Amino acid sequence: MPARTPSNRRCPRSTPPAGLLTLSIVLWPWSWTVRADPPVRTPPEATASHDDLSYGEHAVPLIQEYCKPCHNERRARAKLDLGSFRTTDSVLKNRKIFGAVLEMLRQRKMPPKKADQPSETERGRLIDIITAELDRFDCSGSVDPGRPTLRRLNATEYRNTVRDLVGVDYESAADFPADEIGYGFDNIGDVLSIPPLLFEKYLDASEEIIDRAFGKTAANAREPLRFEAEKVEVGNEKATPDTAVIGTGALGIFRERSIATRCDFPVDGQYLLRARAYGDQAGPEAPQMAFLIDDEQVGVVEVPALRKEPQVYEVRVNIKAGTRSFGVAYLNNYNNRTSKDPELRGDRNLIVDWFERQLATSKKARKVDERIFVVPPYNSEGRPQLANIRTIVETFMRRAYRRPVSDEEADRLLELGRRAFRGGNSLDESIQLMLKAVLVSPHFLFRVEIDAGPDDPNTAHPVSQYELATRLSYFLWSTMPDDELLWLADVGKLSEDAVLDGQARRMLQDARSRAFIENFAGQWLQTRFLDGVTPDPTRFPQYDERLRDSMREETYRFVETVVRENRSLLELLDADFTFVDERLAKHYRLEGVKGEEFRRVSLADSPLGGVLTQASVLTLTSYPTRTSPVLRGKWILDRILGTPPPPPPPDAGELSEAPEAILAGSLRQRLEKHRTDANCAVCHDKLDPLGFGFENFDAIGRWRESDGKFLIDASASLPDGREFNGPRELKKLLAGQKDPFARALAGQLLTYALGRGLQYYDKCAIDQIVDRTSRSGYKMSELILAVVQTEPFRMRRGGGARR
Amino acid sequence: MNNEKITRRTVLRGLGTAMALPFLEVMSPAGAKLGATLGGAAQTATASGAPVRMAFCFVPNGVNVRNWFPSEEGSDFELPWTLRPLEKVRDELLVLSGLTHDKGRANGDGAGDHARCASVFLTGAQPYKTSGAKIRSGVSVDQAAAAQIGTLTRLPSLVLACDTGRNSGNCDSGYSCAYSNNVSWTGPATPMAKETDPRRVFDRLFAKGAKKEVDESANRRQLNRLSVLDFVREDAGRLEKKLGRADRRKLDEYFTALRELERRVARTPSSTSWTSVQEPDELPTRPGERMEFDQHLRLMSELMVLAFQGDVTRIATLMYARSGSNRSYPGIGVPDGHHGISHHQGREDNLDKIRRIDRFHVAQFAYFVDRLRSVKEGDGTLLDSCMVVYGSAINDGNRHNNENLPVLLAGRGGGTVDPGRHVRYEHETPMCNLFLSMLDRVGAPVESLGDSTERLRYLTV
Repeated sequence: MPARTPSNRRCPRSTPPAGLLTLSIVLWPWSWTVRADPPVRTPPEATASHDDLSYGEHAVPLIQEYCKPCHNERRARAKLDLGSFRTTDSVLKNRKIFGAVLEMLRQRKMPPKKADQPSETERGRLIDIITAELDRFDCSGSVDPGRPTLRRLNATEYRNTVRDLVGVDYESAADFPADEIGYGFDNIGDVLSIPPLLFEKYLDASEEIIDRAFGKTAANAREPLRFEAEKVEVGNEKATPDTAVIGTGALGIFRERSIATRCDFPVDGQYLLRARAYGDQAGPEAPQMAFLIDDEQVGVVEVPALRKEPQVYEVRVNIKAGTRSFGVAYLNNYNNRTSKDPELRGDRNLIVDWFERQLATSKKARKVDERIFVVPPYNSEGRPQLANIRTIVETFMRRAYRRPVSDEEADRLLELGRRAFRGGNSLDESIQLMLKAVLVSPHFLFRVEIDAGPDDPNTAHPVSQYELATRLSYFLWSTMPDDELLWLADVGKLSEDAVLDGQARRMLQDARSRAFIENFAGQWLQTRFLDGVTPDPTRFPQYDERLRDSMREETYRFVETVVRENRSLLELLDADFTFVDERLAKHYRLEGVKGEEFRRVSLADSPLGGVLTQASVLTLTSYPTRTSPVLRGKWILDRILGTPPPPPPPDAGELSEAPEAILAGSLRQRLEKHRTDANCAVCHDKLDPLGFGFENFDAIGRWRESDGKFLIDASASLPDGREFNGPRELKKLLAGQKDPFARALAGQLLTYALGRGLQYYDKCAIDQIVDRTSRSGYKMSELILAVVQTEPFRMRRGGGARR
Repeated sequence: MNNEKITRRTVLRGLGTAMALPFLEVMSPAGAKLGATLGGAAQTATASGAPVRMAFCFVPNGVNVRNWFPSEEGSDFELPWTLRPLEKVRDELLVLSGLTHDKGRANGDGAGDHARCASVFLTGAQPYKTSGAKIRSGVSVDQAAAAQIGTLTRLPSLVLACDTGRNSGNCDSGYSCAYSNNVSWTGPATPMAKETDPRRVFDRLFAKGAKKEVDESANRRQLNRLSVLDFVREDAGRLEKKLGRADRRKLDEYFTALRELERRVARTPSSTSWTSVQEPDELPTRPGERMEFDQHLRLMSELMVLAFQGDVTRIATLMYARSGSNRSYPGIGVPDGHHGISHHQGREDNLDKIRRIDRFHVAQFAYFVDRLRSVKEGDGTLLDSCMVVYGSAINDGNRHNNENLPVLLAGRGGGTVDPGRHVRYEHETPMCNLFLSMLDRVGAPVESLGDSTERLRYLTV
């Protein structure tokens, strides 16, 4: 059959994989990124006004040339006739199709390999035009607030909520199965599931939490729990000749070492730790014995007692509830067989008969938290007060469910308690059982939001006052609303603009907002994931867990200060202060910082300042053995500018680490060589220069002038031609990208606040946020307040696709 | 005797009036020996009465293929360098080559091979590309088995991993981390939660609440738990009516978890029969302790052995590391990140490091297999009744290809597998065919799984 059009010839025979477009169409909303003008996109001479990016005029010819051969009215591959769309209007009416087209172009999946390929410039231009068109979203009409999926409390939120609800710090929540991450955060409704294992842990937790709140276990703890030393040691598989059983039931310890066992400490409180022991006395001093909790010495005693008369030694220690390792250690061995002075000859040993723990005092044990017993459940004669029990249960439900409860709901729960009572439980136990049930109810575990028309996408409505209080408190505190928020919801005032603003301001100043810093900033900047980074210990022996924790703490304190002191968000990129402890100060070679306390230090005249030069960020964007300008560049494009580069092709390799390769040139030279390949250069022209600017910092964030035998060259030019030399100048350039940075940050914040991936219509909310922020002089706190005021934060709609 | 089914609800009705103990005994787990006498479960047991077990070990990033596949087929093959640590258990081992996971390929979805590598490994299902909304994979082979035979044991399955998953912020190319972090999927949208702390796993399996409670209060506690679960089920039922479609899906997970937990609570042994289990030597005394990677892997293997031995479960999975893991291995002289060097570009230095990592992983696997063999059961060993799969859903980390996967199968499946051979399958034979055959052998047959086409041949001579 003769070719009818020239383009016909170019459509390759092979059929694209079936369902390709249908699959990708639904993909696209996730890949919608906050649109930011990349700092590097347009060459100066081609600065395009918006009109230059008109679809009809500039994109249609490219589509005709490269797409239409396969996607036309006669042979609409994937049922798609791209030739039929000729105007901006047609793009906007077919958002999903063009979202998919954009994805295909970005991922280089279209045109297929066998077809004629556009040049990289043409491809880039087409991407820019379609992106710009899709961004032209009319925000003047009624706004689509979207709909977050039912959100389960994540592990952090659960622990915080339990703390505020019953006054118990349930550390074990950290051992719940890891919460899955979506869109970069661990509070996304769609991915937070309840696997059976987690549900099992919820049930266990409910029992332990309420038992602890009632001090039930404190009674047990008052009984001494004793461990025979020789049995502890027998159970220890790492036993060595350092110890031996002495007589009929004591353990001799002959060198410095410890013995320990697992031990339950059922409640927070002050414990007596005791041990019965004596010494083989030798040398100038008596044996020293340390009591150990989780391998830390919590008390040291001298043991002058002799074999014929062992003594009981005791220390008092405050210990938090939990299963801990408990034991004793021998600290000062002495063995001298050669001294001329017979007084100094001898072998000192510590002999331990047993050790035990006993609860001395506990606040929790004395009285049930008044958050739970808002009224006494018994009268003065010890008779149950039914009306009071109802009040206790109702109050607890209301706080746990973060909303008022109906009489019927309370009745059902009381019925559960009644049946438990009849079934042989004590009244206390029956009350506890009701509270335990609340802690595994879906109303507690999920943040429930109710729609009038749950499956009608066109019923946008403000969320209820209580739902709003809950959104606000989990956004800024990662915990339940406090009394003030609930009261404002009661009186129906929380949704007023000024009230909402005022509350958010109050909450940011409250200590609980530290949770926001750790959870939001920790995930946005990815410093939370430092644990997964393991710098090569032979190259970086300085790096250990303490240094890592200090690095992370610096970043949290820094961001916290920018938020609390109402500073400009641009300071996140370039600031003249930071926070360090002695360890970190040494790391940065800052003088005059002593001790483990973190303190604020000035960084005037230093290349340091801002998150980009913090050791946390620099370490997590490095490989174990060396820095990676590529990873650093990618981190900046993705996290700071909101323009993540496309994923590398599967055959993209790593630079060789072979000795001969490393000696052949600096890392930078080797990277530059690889950029002479045009295929690599497409992305790496954007990535690498940003990374080069920070090459003065090694793979754990220390300043350096050279890398091995090669001097560091930290100068480069951005694709738009702007040049810089060193981190200071590059930071200035980046901090100049005010709106792109604000947009990117707003997108991250909104995702975190809503617990869902952003959609194209969220552009309107982002516009509002950036607008308010820029008017305020880019104040960080204004950015956060602006998020709270947006429609998607204050409203929701039924599910399904909107027409 | 009394074969009437005693449901949880029957017990609840009797709450407070009847003595609970006799009911509980009827509901308690059949256990290994009883299980064999149950008609429906007959095929799960071997001649000696031992049930057939299955375990799956996942390693990330493919392997150095040059040193993986034996050059000879059949029983007369030489173990290549990487597999040498298995020499001791060579006769218990099948090296399978030629198996493929087609659904690990892009198939139009673009980049993200690492995310697919984990999620496809036991499901054979094409994961739906999303960062969050509408996660969809498939039911994994272990969970397909658990759905049928999981009720015979106290735990339906054991799902283990060495990475916590919390360490991972960067997930692969537009795929949610759920894909790269999970090989076990109980439903297409629900990855199974993994347990990563050996101490906690041990306590959950054997020690929990063992000492404190006397029988009477334990029984009351059990009834209390069941009544709480009954109460919240009604809560969830009422709530469900008010929710939209997507939210109802979340609540469905709640119901599923609830049902499984009810079954387990009803079956918790009232006596403390587990206290006699010997703690593994290296087990830390408390949760959260740091440990070396090889120690962590040995402990996880040990726990699977103990769980099989006590018939606490018959199904287990272990992820050595998450897909795309960039863990470094300084202990064997590889300070570089695994994922980084897996893109080896044919360079000898990288290839050498990869094969050392491969061999390190294989050595841990060899330990597991050897431990299974060291446990006597009936006239043979625990390994005789096991089928243990080891592998990755990527062949070569540089090419990210999904055919000719590195796959090992150890054990005799209760006499239904003839090990000690290298079997080369026809190009593009679906890995899922192996799963289909394994499911038959544990007594949980299904029509198909993932992209399976038929039962896998040549598992017996």
